[in-house]
Amino acid sequence: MNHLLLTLPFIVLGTVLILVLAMSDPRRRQLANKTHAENKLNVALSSNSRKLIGWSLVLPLIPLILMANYAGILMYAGALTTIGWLVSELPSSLL
Amino acid sequence: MNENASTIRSKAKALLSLHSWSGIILGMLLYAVIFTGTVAVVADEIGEWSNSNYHQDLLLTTDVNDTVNRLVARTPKEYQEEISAYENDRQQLVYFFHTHRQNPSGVMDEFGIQYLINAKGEIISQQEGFGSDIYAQDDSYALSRFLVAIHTELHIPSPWGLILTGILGLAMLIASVSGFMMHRHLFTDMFSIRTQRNGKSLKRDSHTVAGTWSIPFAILLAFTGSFFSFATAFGLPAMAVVAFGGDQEAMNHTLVGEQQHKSDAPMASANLNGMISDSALRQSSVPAFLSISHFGTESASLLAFYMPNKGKVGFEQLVYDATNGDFVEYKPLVGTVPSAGSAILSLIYPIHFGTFAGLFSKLIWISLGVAACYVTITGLQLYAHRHEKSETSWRWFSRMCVWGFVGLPLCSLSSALGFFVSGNMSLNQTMWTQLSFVIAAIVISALTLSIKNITRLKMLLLAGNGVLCLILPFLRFTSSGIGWLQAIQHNMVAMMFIDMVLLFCSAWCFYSLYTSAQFKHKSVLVENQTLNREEVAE
Amino acid sequence: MLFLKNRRFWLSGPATLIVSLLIMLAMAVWFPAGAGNVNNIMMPLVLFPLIWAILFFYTYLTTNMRRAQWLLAALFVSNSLILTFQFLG
Repeated sequence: MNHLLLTLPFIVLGTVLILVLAMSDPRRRQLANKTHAENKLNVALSSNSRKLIGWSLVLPLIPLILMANYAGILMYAGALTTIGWLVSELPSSLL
Repeated sequence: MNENASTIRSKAKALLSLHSWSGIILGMLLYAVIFTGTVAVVADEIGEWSNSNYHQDLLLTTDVNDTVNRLVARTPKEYQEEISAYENDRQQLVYFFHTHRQNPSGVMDEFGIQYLINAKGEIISQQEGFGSDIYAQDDSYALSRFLVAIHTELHIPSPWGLILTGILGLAMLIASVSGFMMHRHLFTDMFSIRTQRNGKSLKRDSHTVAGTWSIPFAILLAFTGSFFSFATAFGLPAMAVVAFGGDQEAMNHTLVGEQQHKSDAPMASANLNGMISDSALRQSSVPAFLSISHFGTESASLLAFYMPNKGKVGFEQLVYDATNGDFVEYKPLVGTVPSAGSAILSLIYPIHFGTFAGLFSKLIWISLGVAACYVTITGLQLYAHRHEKSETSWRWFSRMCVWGFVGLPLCSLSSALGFFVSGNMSLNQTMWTQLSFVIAAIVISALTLSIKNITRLKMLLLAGNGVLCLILPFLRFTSSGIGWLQAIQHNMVAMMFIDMVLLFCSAWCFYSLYTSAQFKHKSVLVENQTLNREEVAE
Repeated sequence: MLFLKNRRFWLSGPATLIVSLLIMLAMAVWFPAGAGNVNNIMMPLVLFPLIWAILFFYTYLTTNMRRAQWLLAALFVSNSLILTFQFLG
């Protein structure tokens, strides 16, 4: 169970990064401006810093490899995939 | 320059038509395979849940050595070639004493006597036959086995079912690669879903966003899936023809990595319990199954099979010399020594099944499956939406979408219903699980053909799903008498997990029924308002 | 049934399938078995979907159909030769 718990912080970190990326997404903001007058969830970031954040999603792989937590790598990748999808899909279909 | 642009455009067009056709022709079958694949991730949990069971680690807690010695005394010599042992979902140990033989369909199979032994070491039942036949009639696995077989071969006779699922895997590969190649704004579009004027999200955007995110895993799952199908359907026999002159047994020996020279000279075997507990200590886990070869001879050996543990993703096989009980080696999945082929194979399994870190990884793999289902569903709906302009006509394609997308889960739930009801009435659960699926399919098809309004049809089927998801946990409770308090006491995680998933699905069904009812109400209101405004303007 | 007259259909469909199956079978002959003696069986099986997908996308998207045709023909001949030698010699 130990290596699973060690993977969780990375997944949480990945979720936060994806949320930041989603909120600072220029195209998403452009669309949001069109439909809703007010939108509170917004972070303005330059495209370079967004790129940096995007690349930093790869960083957790380094400690996971060092810890030989290969199951963690697979889970991290799978979790990012589904979290990224849910972050983009849920607000538009639920709210 | 101009020419270049036109080739790019024609290539994009070619990719789009490839993407749509691979999706449209095989989309519904692909959905069936992906949906049941998502369910198959938790096949073990469904097995435990359907029997309200929890693993008792009988391989460690009972005297395996004593049982094997007792059973050896009453089993014909020829079946003692190999003994496999595992715990089933009804708190029994299954010992299968067998040799290897070709079954009536010409495939190498295990043949021997299967004993069911309870926790006290008493023989509950014994049965002689081919391993595949005995497993196919085992009622305790009726539900999980039925659902998994939809995923692996759509219940079409071997090898055609496997070939079909292999082709579906290739179609999924084509669809995801072509989708990836033709989408030029992959990273700019991956967070945004446009909404239509009526407040619903745009199908096309939902499709591309879900598709974009799940591309890496869609490719991996499709690739590994088609490998499994093709390798078992014709790959392995073909390899036997080319590399072993058609000798399948010789190839199996090479793949399994058996020692070449077996001595049948009798020799007392060491205590099996010692080896089992030693392996459990090394893995700090419980073996999934044991395989004891040539028990009571000079070449006796024991293999303990473990699920991945401690951050590893591959299975572990610990081999012991059963004559003296010494640990020999960690055996690779195929062959006798570690190799690239074995390493790749031991990666393919966890990547496809998602069973490398218990429920945690399974949960993630289920979500990946749901995402892939969503891509298939939105893709086909998109096609239906674009090609059926008229709202009033029969709308064959949309109708088929509702029939398949909402109908298949309902059929699967019905098979679970059949499993429990037949179990309560002590009927043949294997037969009734299948039969209830078929009956549900017939009823749903009849409804699909008879209800003219597609929205009403969809809501009806959705309500059916919601009701069944709600009923099943209670039905499980009434058939076993094991409630959640007891489950918590005994740490029955798998059972509670499935119960909760069902309740969650039920809530989701009713929620989406509620929202679509609201939506309908709202759109009527909006229509009235616009009408009013138009009247005012006039 | 217009697609039956389409050359690309035959190239990306049946031809690609047959050629990639042949490659898989021939690979069992020439692929080094390795220390575990299993690589020549496992690798072709694992690589088959990949080989098929690469050949499929190549033949489907190429503008130079003649080259694709010759490539498939060459692969077909070389791999059948390997298999013939395996079975006859």
